[in-house]
Amino acid sequence: MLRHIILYGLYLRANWLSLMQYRLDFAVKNISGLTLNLVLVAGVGIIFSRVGEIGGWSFHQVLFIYALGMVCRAVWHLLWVDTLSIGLLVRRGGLDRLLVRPLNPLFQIMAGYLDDDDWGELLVGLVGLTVAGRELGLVEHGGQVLLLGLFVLSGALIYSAIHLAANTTAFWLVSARSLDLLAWELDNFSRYPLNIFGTGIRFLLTWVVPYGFAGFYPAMAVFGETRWALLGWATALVGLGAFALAYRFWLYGLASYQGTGT
Amino acid sequence: MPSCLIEAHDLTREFRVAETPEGFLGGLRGFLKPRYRLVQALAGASFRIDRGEAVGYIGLNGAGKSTTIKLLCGILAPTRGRVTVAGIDPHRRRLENAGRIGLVVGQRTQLWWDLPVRESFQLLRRVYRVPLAAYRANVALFHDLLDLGSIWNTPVRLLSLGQRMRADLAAVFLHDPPMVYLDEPTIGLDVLAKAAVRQFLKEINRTRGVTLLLATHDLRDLALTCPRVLMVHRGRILYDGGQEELLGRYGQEVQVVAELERQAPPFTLPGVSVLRQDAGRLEVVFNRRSVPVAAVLAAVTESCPVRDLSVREADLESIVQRLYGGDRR
Repeated sequence: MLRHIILYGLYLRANWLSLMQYRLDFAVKNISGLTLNLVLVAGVGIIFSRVGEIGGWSFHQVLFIYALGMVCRAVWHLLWVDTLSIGLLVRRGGLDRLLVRPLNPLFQIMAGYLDDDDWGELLVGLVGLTVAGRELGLVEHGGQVLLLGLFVLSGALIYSAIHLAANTTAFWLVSARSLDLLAWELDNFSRYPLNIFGTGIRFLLTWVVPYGFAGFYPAMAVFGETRWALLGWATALVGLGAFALAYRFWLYGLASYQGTGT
Repeated sequence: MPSCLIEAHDLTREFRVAETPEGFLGGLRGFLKPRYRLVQALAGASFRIDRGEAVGYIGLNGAGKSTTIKLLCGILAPTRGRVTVAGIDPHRRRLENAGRIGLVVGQRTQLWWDLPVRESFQLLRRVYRVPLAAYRANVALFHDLLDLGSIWNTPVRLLSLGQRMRADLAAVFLHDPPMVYLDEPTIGLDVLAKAAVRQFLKEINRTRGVTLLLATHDLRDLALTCPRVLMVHRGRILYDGGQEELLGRYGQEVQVVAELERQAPPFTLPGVSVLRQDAGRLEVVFNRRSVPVAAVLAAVTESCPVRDLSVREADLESIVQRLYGGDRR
């Protein structure tokens, strides 16, 4: 475990140094990403200039849910997005290189890349979370901030699990782009309060593709909203469980890559 | 410690390849009801490699070279048969095996693309748990043998192919692996870079006793480095033995080419076959065991004034060409 933490730090450093080789590119991408995310948040504000509440939630509550979803997604996207390249690794044989190193290949994939274009989402999300959290009195002391940090990590883990599972299908389909695009599109739903959707979508986002735990449910726990707080408190467990399941699936796929006859 | 490092018995690997019928409708049919064809990439190969050996692995494209290496690295599981590397099954215990081997694949790099060469080495040191003292000693050695110093601080993406291969070679030997596989390490390199690779392999095999399995199409890679040759064809081992013996067994053939001053009468000599004769040129081939080279040369020069004369001995390349007999797939 300690070995992996040290290695993770070293990989992170290497990734950061690699990013800084292309400073201008990095700056331009993130300025445009920042703008896009500001527009998205502004959209929430515009809606609330016409209506007083959505699904029973005030502007700051919706902003909080929205921003928490953004931060979860951004942390996943920045740190662990490279499960998206599993298809490419299988198709072009890059996986072989990872398999001859004495280190877990999934660790190598997830630690081996730092994304360059989603820092704007992280920034906007953190600012939104702070503004809404202050207004609602949810970031008053260290314990609350720590709890939010735990929820963010769990949410990012849920994102990782969903995309890992979607991309693991590449072992059989060779290309997993379409399935992953579906997973990618679905996360748009996760930033809004789940109770404004119908039962079908709510069920989907809770029990099948659990994006609900990367924003809405943990926010309910923080709000102390009794209807969903129980699910909210289970966020960390859901994150670990989802990732464990996806990891099992990945191992199964890997075995078929190496195994006989296919 | 047992002297045998690799033991492969009846090693077989099949692949299931989906066959897509032609045309749009065919593509649709292939999607709905895929048909598969079994391809044997390796069909019952058995061999042993001892510690400290340097073995050349030759064969045509698709003969099974890369599949063999993937099986030995544990990247693939065999369909049938078994293989052990240093006593363990490389597939079942892949991580353990990975710490003791190195793999070089020509044209592919395992270094961090955007970072200076030294950064990759520092990362690999941690990945392979190389003690600092051993790391420093090896880096110093590779600075000598591979002139690593001149590229140490250069980002990998800016290196020429030759420079990159030098860096990759050093990276693979960094953790003192007892076994290193090389899959066409000299492909695409210029003559000087090829020479550097061969020289380094020979040196590291001799001084460190690193066991090498070198798969290549360039038989000149083997001349200096690999006394033993494994030849694979259609997934089977066609030849396993010394390079010298291979030359001895098949290398008795000599070809004489003469540039003639003028038209000569048809050339005949018992035991010698004429490949080609025309106004200015005579080409004959014979076995040196049945006819002495000197006798042939004398007969040729007697038959007609000769402007130029060359004697070509069979080399590994021409022997391999003849063994395969134009049999491609």
